Amino acid sequence: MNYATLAWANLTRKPLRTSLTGLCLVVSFLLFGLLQPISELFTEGPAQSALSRLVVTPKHSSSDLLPVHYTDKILAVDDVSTVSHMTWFGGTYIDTENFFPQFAVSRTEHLQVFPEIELPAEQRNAFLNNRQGAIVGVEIAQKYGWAIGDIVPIVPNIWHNREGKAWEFEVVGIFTSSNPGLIDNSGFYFGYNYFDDYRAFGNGTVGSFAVSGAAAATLPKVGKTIDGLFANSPSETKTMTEREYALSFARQMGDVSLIVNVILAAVLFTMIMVTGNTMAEAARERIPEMAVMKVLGFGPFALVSLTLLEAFTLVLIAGLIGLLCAQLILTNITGWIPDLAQLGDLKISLTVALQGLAIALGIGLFVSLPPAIRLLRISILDALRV
Amino acid sequence: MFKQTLALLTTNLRSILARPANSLITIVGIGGVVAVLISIFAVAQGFERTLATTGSADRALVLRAGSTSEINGSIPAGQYGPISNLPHVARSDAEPIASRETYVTVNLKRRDGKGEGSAPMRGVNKQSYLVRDELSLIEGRDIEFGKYEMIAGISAAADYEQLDIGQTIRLRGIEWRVVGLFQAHGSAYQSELWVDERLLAQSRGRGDTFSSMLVKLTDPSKMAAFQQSLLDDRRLTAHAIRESEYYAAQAGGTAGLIKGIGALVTVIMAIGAFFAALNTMYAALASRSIEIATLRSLGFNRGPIAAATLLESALLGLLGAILGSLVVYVFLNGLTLSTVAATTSTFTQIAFSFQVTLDLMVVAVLVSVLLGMIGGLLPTLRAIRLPIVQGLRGG
Repeated sequence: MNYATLAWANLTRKPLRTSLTGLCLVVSFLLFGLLQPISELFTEGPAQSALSRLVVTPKHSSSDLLPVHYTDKILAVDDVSTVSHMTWFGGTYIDTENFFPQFAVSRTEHLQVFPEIELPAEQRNAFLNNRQGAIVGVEIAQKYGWAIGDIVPIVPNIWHNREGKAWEFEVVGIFTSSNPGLIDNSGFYFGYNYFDDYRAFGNGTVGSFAVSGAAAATLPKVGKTIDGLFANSPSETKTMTEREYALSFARQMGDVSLIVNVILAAVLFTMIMVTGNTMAEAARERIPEMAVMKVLGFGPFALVSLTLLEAFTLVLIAGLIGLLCAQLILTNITGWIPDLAQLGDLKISLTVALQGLAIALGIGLFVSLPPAIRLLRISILDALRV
Repeated sequence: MFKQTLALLTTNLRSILARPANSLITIVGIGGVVAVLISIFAVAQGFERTLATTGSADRALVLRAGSTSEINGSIPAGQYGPISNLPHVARSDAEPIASRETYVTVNLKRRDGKGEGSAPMRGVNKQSYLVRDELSLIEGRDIEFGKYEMIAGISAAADYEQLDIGQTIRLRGIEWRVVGLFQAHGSAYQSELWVDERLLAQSRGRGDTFSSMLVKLTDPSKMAAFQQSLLDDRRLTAHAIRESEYYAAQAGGTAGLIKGIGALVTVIMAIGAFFAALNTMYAALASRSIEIATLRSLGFNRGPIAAATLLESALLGLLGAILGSLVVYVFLNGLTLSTVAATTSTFTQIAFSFQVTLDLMVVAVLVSVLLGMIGGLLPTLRAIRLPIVQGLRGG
């Protein structure tokens, strides 16, 4: 009979209490596993790519536009190899309920700067050669049942065209993103030239630029140089790394993230208190038994490890089940709460899993240390009387 | 039966006090659920209420045809006259109550150090105050038209740096001086910055156009007629939305997000608290099995024993509800928060307040009493089914 068998025997002595305590712990870890990734998304922004890119935006307002001829000036900055641009289109499909992000982009450069957009070679060529062509993310292609060659009408909300009608794009490619946390699979991209020629106003302007080529270490310097080029002009810029840019969007949710954190803290506090008490009580009850084992010759180290082992077994098993359930829910959550999809990809990252492990070990120690210490201090005679 | 229950209840209540740690744990568990439930829904409600109180049913927001938001609209200046002279537009001293406005967003540094936020800036004229009677200046003075001056809503002033009276904001080489602060009955207008419409349009190079018009109608019921007359006039490239509906729609996404997360978390947490209550009540009743068996051998019926025990656990739930709501009320009620209100083309920060309403409290109390009772149900059933002889031996 080894310690594990003993610990297990202790746990299964009162199966009802153990399983109820275990279920409470599972629920705590489930909530932690659900809320921590959401909180992480608010504070860290979406998962980053290994590529170092800069985003050049209008300085004063996200609703401003920048002249497209900035491209050449940015391209002339040292270390910059490719400059692409994109313009938010903000239209809807059929009616205002069907919304997904659409962008007018510089086609060749966009695919170079964002290699995450993966397309078969012939679809890539079709996109580059078809003025009215659009590439669409695999998720919205499936959602609306689009196939290559379909004509998709988009009703403009901002960019009215010269005829005041819906814009029509031909689906020439369906892409999958290799980093859906950053570039999701519900994007809709079409060529800038057609867009610029046909729009009723604002010609020659774009929403933002994406810049690649500079090494990660030189990004801040390159960013400063770019902003310096346009300082004191009517269209000043603000250049950020891609990470800062994503973060600035996540931060717009503002105090909602604060609330998520407060709730997370409240949940953990409540659940740890509730389960901690039950587990500590179970350990206290067994002090006389432990005294018997002391009489039989078990050393203090053996008894303390047994107490710890019992607590850790329960907490770790519950933690694992809880986090697995959380992951299961997270993969389906956007089906239930569609508004969550706009924030980015939700999953239990390695960091969250390690934090979960740390909390599990913390709870284990918290509930088993007091009885263990008492066990060490108490005399056998007193313990047998408890 | 009633007399028996009452007699037992007093003993049981004393037993709550006799086991303070265990009872407290149940109370804290349920209190946690209540606190989370109330705070999440107070946030969602506060946000929705701010957008719901913005705008009035008798005001029409006129946007460029096809647009669903003010931000990128551009209606030619020449259409102001014909639109304000359409039927059903309310008049004051024979002048139509209609205001042409330019709407942009500006990036400003937040006071809480969380980077920049996107604040709505509205170019206004004298008519804008006439249309919105809820607005009032609470500090400083109004802007002088023709000068680069600005009044800030109190929520915006609380959120962003440089919005104290006397300070200036530099945008595209122009310095706008803050001269006053206004309030607007807690509506989303309080998150806005107001400047002279002509000066703003010029500084943005928007030419002779404006973003939107706000029009007061003679009666809310005339909305459809007004919308139709706008569509019927072939010269006009605009459409109208009831102002209250426009703002209510903006609450959709974010409120849905908060409520979705809230419902999910509350349900899961309630399950956890249910297990905790179950655990405590099982332990409590197991330790009382001798007592219960004794009562039954003295002639007490199962019914009153069960009823008294269920009432005991319901009371624990009630105490949990009181604890949870008290914590939330003391620490969070009245707190001002801000988040985004989004349409397909705007993304602006709106401030709102955290308000614990009576409705929420009632729901919370019901949920917690229910939680306490169903947590006590199974243990109670087990306790009263136990044969008396076995019970007297200690279960």
